[in-house]
Amino acid sequence: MLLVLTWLSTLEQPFKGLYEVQKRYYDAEAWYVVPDLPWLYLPDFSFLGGFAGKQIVIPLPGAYLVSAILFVNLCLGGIIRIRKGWKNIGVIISHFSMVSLLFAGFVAHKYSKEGIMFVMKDDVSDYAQSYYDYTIEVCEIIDGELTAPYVVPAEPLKKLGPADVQRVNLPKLPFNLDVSHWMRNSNVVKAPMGDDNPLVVDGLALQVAENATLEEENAAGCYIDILPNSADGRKVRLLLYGPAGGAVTATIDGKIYGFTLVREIWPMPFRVRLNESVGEYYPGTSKPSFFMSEITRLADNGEKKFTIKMNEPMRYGGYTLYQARWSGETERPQSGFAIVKNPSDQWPKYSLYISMLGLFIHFGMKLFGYMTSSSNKNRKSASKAA
Amino acid sequence: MILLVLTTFIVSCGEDPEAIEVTDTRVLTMWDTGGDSLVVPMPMEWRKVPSTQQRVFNYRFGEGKRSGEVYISRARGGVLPNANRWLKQFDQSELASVDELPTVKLLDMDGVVVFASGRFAGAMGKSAQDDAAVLGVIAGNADSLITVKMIGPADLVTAERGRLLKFCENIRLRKTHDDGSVSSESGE
Repeated sequence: MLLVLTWLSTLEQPFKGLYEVQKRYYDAEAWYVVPDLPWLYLPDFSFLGGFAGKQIVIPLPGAYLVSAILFVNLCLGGIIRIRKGWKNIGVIISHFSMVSLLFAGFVAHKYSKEGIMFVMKDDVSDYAQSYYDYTIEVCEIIDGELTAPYVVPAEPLKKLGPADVQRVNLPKLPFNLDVSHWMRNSNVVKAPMGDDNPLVVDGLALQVAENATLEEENAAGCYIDILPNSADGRKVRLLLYGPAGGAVTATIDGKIYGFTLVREIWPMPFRVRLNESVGEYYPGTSKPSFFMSEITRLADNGEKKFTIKMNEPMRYGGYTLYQARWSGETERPQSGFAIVKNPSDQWPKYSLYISMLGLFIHFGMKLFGYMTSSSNKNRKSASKAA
Repeated sequence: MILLVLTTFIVSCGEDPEAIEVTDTRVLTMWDTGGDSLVVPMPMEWRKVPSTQQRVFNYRFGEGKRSGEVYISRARGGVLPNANRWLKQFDQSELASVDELPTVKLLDMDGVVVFASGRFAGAMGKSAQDDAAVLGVIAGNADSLITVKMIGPADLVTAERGRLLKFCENIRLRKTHDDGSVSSESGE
């Protein structure tokens, strides 16, 4: 079943995009999935009547559910109930390695975090951003400078439908927020100033747009209503648009507050200076074939130089930096580093070593047993003949 | 029992999600300080609105049709041609020189103050407007200019004059050090 799900999701990816397919096939909430591929639709023939052009619905269990069942099955059958003994020790070890591999997958699914850090040559960066997830950040602005922002997390926001209103309580600030009209992909359009439409804010309005196949191309948008705690405070509506960049502001109780809709910002415990960034494109294309970055990692315990290439990441403090993107068209090339924090990063590798050990023991014992019994048979035959 | 479960399910559909509480902040990063080289303290009476490609910092004051806008842009072409372009939008005659215009400090430069009022002919997507005014400051040289432009109903623009000039004086540069840390310099 896992093989079928992997095959179908791979076929669906060019049409739906990686993000959408991962959500439908592999998310913990995806108990079942109905594959949606062009060849799963009936042809548009008139003799099919009402069924012409309709989708053939084949509900399948989701990959997370199947993996969970496999995990339980392996634990019960492959480790707990299996007959214990020296003859089975290799099989038990191999089963244990598969259980640990599945557990590593669960830990990665639940606890890993991924983002991307872009740095231009000779620049320094100390943060990564989520590929897809938007957050709302709220901070006071003092003398033109942002202060540490309160962050409304991405999880509840991305579940919002167009008609939902999410209340956000901010007990340390003199107001709360209502987030409404969440759009996964949107455009900003101009509207007449003074338009009474509640969705027109300072001559601008949000318009829902069709979701892009590549989730990174989606530009989220929403409205927020600022609800002051003071009795004479007036509700203020703001329009937030992801690509706009920079905060929009409102003055509440004599202080200026900034509100930003931004792909989740992930502070790093170190800084990265890009010293050199080189790459090559496939001939006649703009697709990089090779890229490499020389960086200096700046942390509290000092500086250290590294070279990061494709498939040769840098590991530090539980973080892994991979060379993911490269752009060299301008004078100052830019590197994009995929940053992953995964507690079970190396567990699959160790699981494979354990599996290798188990299989080696099992097949070694089988081979030894065969050679021993063959030798005994030959000896018996020889003595009989004698 | 089944009815109760079904009822609960139906009733809970369509309800707004539960309220969430946010009490933690995140640490500041270079995303917060590295976006632009300018540090721009704004008046409390204005509000910052979404930026655009041409308008790095974009503000509004007033409400609805009785509102105006202020924006900071980077431009080229010299102080005099840009001043005359603004005057032309109000059907005012061009200046031969900006030497007679008042000045205000903007990023350690003497920025010329340009004012015109009357019928705004419309420009950059804005429609024509009667009884309007423009008040702005232009500073720099032919290759690199910074402009601060306020446009709106004439009476509102006149009332905001002091605030705008103070706004210009308070703009300062952000300095980035070799290790990536930043500090801001006074404009003076």
